[in-house]
Amino acid sequence: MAAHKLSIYQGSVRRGKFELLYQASPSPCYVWWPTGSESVLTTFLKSPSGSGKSTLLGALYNRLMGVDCEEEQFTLDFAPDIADLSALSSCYVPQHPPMVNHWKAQEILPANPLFLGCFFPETRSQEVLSKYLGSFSVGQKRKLYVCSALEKLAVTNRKSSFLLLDEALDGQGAPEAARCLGSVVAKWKEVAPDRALHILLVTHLNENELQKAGPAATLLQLAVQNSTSSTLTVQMENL
Amino acid sequence: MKDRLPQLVYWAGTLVVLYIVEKVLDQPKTWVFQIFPTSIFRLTIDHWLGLALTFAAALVAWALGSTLAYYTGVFVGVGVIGHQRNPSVLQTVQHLNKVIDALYVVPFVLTVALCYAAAMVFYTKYGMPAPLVVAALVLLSGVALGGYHVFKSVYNSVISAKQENSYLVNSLYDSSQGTDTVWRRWLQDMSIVRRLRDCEIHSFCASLPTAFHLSVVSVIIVETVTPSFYELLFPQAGIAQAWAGGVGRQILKAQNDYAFQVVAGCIWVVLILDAIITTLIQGYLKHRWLKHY
Repeated sequence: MAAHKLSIYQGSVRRGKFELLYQASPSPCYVWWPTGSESVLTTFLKSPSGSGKSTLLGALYNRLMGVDCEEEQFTLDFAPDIADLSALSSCYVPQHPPMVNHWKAQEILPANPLFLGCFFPETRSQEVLSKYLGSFSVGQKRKLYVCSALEKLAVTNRKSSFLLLDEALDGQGAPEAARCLGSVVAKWKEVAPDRALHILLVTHLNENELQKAGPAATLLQLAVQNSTSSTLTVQMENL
Repeated sequence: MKDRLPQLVYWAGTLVVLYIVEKVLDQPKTWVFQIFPTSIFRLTIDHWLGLALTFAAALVAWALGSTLAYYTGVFVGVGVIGHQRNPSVLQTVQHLNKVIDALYVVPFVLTVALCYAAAMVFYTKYGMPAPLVVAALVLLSGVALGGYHVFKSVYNSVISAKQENSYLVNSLYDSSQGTDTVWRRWLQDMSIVRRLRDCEIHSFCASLPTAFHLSVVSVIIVETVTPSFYELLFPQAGIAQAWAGGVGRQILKAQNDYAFQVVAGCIWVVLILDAIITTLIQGYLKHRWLKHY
């Protein structure tokens, strides 16, 4: 198992004149170091609205992808132990993804999708693939996007993969979200047993309900410490 | 007598109103009637043939200009996406963007004059085939005004992409990924540009009918600035019929003759044909993309 270690130290994200200060407790918090027995890790990121979850995920994704975002500068040090970012693969389904209704599902999924059954267990693959996204509900479209991202991660042959989901499964309710996550973890271990996957899920669903039927997960919580017109101080806590 | 007084007042009032209409409004009324849609019946067969030629040229200009502008937008978009790998490409495409901006900002009449003069130099001095002069001007008509909107819709969907669009498009499954050759990477970047355009499909769909409106405008401008340029399609200049200058030349003639009814008739026909063709374009766009929204 590849030893890619992901840690989050305290730091800041600046957007124009506004700055989000993230304080880590303990520092670093949220350490992930995949081992042979624990190749898939799920983390639930929970916090009240407006406490910088999406910003944290965006900055994390940009860091993992090695993207210099002109609109924001960040000092958050996410991955000190990952020198070679090309060994990583990352996908991010944002909170409000564009709903491109004129795409057919087959445009964003392979001909024989591996993960479609995790999200649509009762429907034949070909039936889903032949439909336009416009014929799915918003929640189903989000599931298709997550499925598409997983297919991409599965074929990249990178040693470690990160899947960042911003409330992508919240519309399904806790039992269905837990079932989907459990199926994904099991499928990943089946199709890519020698590669690590980390799912970071921002959710407002109850974490106990999610873990009851889903995979074991760690919990990262954000709490607003201080808020002014120019700064937002957020405490990150690994529970 | 008292019973008849209101009737007398009514009649007197009616006569006064008729007198005012006769003396004050009659002349303008005649003018207004002459520029109503009935002015279409003033058009001769030459006008109709000229209009047909103009719209045929506008359709060709729109098709060529939009296609060229679309692929230029994709090319520039690929440069923007790949700029982290190759910063020099980004500089090149940004220069290209500025050239296209300049083409739109410079008065079209001047652009036409410059292009026509340059094409004629190549025609007279270097033996360029005469039909290529016409092709160059028609292409210019499609690219300079209408094509600009198509280009910008693609360019903006990449350069000003919402973060959500970029995150999602980069995260979706793409069968061409995982390849390391330059050509494959270009194909992958083109696929990303196409998907970013899809995220802003309404903007792209709005640009195509606009492009056609502007193609009609620019073709008529070309016809008025260079009234004889279609004659280059014929084996000998000066033998073409009057309609072979397009509606632009017909309007110039009507203007010299103070035949404003003919100009008005041409305007109405242009409006009607433009509405019909843009409705067809919008129908296609709805069938292809917009019906899913």
